[in-house]
Parts: sequence; C-alpha cells; structure tokens
Amino acid sequence: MRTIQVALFIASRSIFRGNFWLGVMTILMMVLVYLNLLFAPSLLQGVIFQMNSKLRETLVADLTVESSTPGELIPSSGKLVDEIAAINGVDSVTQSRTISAQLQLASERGTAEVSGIDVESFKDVYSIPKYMIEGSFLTPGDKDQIVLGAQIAGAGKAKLELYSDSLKNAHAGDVVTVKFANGVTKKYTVKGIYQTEFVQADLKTLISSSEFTQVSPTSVDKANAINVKLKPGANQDKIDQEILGLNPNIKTRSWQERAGFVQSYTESIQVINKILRAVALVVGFLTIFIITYVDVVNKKRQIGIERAIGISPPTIILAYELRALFYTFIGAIIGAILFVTVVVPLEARYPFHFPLGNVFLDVDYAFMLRNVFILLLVSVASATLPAWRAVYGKIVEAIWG
Amino acid sequence: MLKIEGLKKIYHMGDVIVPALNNVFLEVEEGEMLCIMGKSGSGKSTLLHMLGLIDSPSKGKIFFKDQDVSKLSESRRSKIRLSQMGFVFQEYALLPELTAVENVYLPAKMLGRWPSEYQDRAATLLESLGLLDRMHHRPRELSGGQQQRVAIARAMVNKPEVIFADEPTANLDSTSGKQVMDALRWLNEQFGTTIIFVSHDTEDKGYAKRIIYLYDGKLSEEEEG
Repeated sequence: MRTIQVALFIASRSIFRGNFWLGVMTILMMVLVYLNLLFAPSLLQGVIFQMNSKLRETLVADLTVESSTPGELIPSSGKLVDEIAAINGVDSVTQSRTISAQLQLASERGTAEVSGIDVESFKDVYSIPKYMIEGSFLTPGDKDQIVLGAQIAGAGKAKLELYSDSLKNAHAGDVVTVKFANGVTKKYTVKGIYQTEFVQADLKTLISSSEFTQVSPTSVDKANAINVKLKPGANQDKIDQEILGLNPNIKTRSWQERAGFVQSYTESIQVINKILRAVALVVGFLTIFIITYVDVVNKKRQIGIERAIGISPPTIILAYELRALFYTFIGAIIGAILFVTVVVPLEARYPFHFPLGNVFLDVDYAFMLRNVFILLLVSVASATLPAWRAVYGKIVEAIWG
Repeated sequence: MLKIEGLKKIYHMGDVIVPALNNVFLEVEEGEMLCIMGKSGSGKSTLLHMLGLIDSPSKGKIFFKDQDVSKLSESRRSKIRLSQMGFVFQEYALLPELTAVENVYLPAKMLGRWPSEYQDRAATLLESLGLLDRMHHRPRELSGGQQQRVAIARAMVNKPEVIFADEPTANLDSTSGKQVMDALRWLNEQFGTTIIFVSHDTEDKGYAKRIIYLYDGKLSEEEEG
C-alpha cells in the first residue's frame, strides 16, 4: 500500500510537473499506436462483414432449403414457402428453379445457370434489384425478358474478373439466344444488367417463374431451392429445426455452411489481421520502451538518489509503470474518440473500394476496449524492462552517473 | 554506533584493479560529528558510501548498532537507510519535479507516516533551516545553498540516528557553505544526530568534533605532513 502511494505520488508529479511537451508527444504517439491498432483490423473486419453481407443478400440468404435427395426438386414448394413464411422470426422466403444454359450474343458465348424466380419475394429476400447498372429488374409475369449478372453480360467492362468468359458486350435491350440444358432454345431481350461486385452473385441469370415454366413445364410447383431471410436477432438454429419439421424430405443449410468459398478469404484476412495487430503492439511496446529508456538514462542519477534515501526499487519501478499506464490510457481514450468521431465518419464518406464493393470500418466496441487493455499491459511491460535495469544496478554507479 | 573492521574496497576498471580502501578500521560513537578528510581520489566518498550502506565492501565488516550489516540484502539495507540514516549529497540531489517540502517529506511518506505528521515535520524542518518561504518552490527556483539545506531537511525528516554528508559545501560559495555547515552542526547539537561528513575544505573541519584522514585508501588520525 505504501509502495503504491509513494509510486503514485512520484508518478503524478513526474507527469504533471515534468516536461510538458514530452508528455504531449508521448500521448500523441500512443494515440497513433492505438489508431494503428484499430484501423487496419477494423477495415479488414469491414471486408469480412461486407463479404458475408454480400453473400447473404445476393446469393444464399440466411437459410437454404433443398431436397434431401441429391438432384431432386422440392415438391409442393408453394405450400412449403407459405409454411416457412409463417414461422416466427422469418422475414421473407423465396423459391427458385435453375437450369443450365448456354447464352449467345453474336459470336460470343457463355454458360450460366438460369434461375426462374418469384420476382416479388425475390426482391424481399435479395438486394440484387438495387444493383442494376443497366435497364431494369424483372416484374412478375415478364415474358421473353432476361436479367443478366455483369460477369455473364460483360457489359463492355473489360476489367471484370470473368470478362473473357462473358458475352463481353451484352447491354440492356440486346437479344440473346439461350440454349437450355433440356434442349429448349429461346431468344430473350436483356431487360437489365446488375453488378453487385460479388463475382458469384454476378454470374446469375434471372428470368421470371412464369417464363421458367414455359421453358421447363415439369417444374411447376417445384423448386431447386427455397431461400429464407431471417429477421434481425432471430434464432437461426430454432427456425432451422422448425423448417426441418415441416417436411421429412428436405434438408437445410445455413449461410455459414454455404460460405465455404469465402471461408478461405476470411481466414487469410484474419491471419493478416493478427499480423497487423501484432506489429501495432510491437510498435506500441517499442514506443513506451524507448521513452522510458531515454527517461531512465537521463534520470539515472535521480534514481540513484531515490534509492539512496530509501525509496525501494519496486516503488520506483511502479512509478514508471504508472506513468506509462497514464500516457497509454489517455492516448487510447483520445485515440478511441478520434476513431469513432473522425476516422469512421471520414471513411464512411470516402470509403475504400474493394473488389466486392465499398468497405466501411467495422466499429466493435468490445474489440476497442480489449485493445485498450492489451495496450495497457504492453505499456506496463515496456516500462518495466528499462526501469528494472536501472533500479537494480549499483546505487553508487547511478549517483556518479 | 558504527564500526568497520578490515574494510577493503576494490574497483575493477576493465582489466585494471583499483584499490579504493585498504584494511580500514573505524569506530564512530553516537552523537559524534566526524569529518573525513583527504585529497581527491583518496577514498573518502567510498568510505562514506560503505558506512551509509549504499555500496558494499569487497572485504571486511560493517556494524551498525552492533549488527553486521555488510552482507544484508538490498531490501534490508534500503529499510535501514530509510528509517535510520540520512544522506546529503554533493550536488544537491533533489528531485526536480517535487517542491522543496515534497522533497523533504518523500522519505517520511515512504516510511508510512501520516500525511499530517510528515507535512508538519517537513514544514518545521524547513522553517528551522530558514526556508519556510521557499517550501513550495521547485529546486530550480532555489539557490545552491537553499537546495542543500532542503537536502539536509530531507535527511532529517525520518529522525535518523546518523546523517552522511558527501562534500556538502563543494559547490557552494563560502556564505552558503557556512549556512549548510551551521545547519549540520545545529542538527548534531540540537538532536544529538551523529553527523559524518566528507570534505576537502579546511574550513569545514572546524565544525567537526573529530577528524580522520584518508591517504590512498588508508586511515589516519593525523594530518599528513
């Protein structure tokens, strides 16, 4: 207790009566260290968030219902859609049928999965209609109209990832020939082209369900998949069980299970995230270490005097630790305020553009708080080392300099 | 009170061995005001540091109040220095971020005394040393003599039995030097505190009740020719 009191006394006097600008610069360094600790991980977390969001809102929704027998369609899908929609916690449900096809525009050809969709419910579950770059989205009952993903259409965008395999210059209003896998060949007018910037979603080709039944009459009231969007905070596992209870011949897959193809990206980003955090912590460690080391070297004689008059080494070390804790805490608090009130809004206004769209900093207050504690621990360790070396040397040598 | 037997101190400067003290015997009685004199490099500061437990002998024994303190751990020595010894160093040696009164009561705070007790005692000591109006000033705002008197007050705050002063007037003008030596003598006479001081200034030896001389690490009761 006495040690703590005296250490607090020495540390507080050192902080408030020591070199003002040295204190300001130390705090400023800690602000930068903390911002560095937050910025890149938050950005990468934003990438992961964006990836998962895009996956759910353009491709797989929250839950996918399929036939439990591979290759089979779900029978009486309309009734099942209604039953699923009635489950508490379900926001919206849509069904789709798919068939492989080859598309042709002039001499350019491309292959795609053509999906027949219930337009209205599709709009409720997916946000693809918000990403139209040409023309417009389907309306219920559209005949001979097709909506193409940008990676299929090409749309004259040579920088697209799969441009070379696309129709290259398909635009709204063009007529494309579609050869379905069941042998049916039909011409469609491109009603619109969308670009979500999520490659897998932009490979879709959509026609209305009524048009699809024209192409594939055997698919009436059947579906390849039923996709379910849940309300925010809904219990996914519970709803999953309720859906499985509706029909013994179906299986469900969560968006997490279907995220396999983005999982490797996510894992790589997490690794990068950890490396960046470790580097930021090392920078923080070295900053406090250097500041304390220089201070200890300059105050070698003073430390010797303190020891000679009976101030115990643990007290002197604790004083340095408390000082480091103070500078780090103030730096982290200022850093956190700057991050939330300046950096995040600024980035939101001028977002970073990644291949999957604009990415926003993901603010996680628990993560921010955790980093404050980690930085405090690091600062204590980095202040302890030089202080320890200084106070356990010979007193006489310290006094003589 | 203090006794040393066969004290030796050797410094290693690279491969060179430098003997600082060589087989020194000394006994200091309670209430003495002892002056250790000698030329620069004669080992007088080294002897003072040994007696004050801030350095360890290479050989020999140091007894403080009949206890062999030469082999004590740093923690035990630190406690003895804090509670029973006081130090005045050559170059003021105050903590620059503390005011005069804070410098004085820091060792008392470390000893765990109540704030009201140590603050009053620090103020009283500073008043006695003519520094009442300077007690809330930082060291840089004090003259050399004033800083040295603050250091004397600090040495006294825990009511030590012995004060060690290492050339306390070395950096002072004659007037300030006299004030400092007067203050040390006052402590010795007023409180019976044992004072052991090192000096090479012949004026200072007039304050001592006993003088010993160090020549090349060896002790003598007589001044060299």
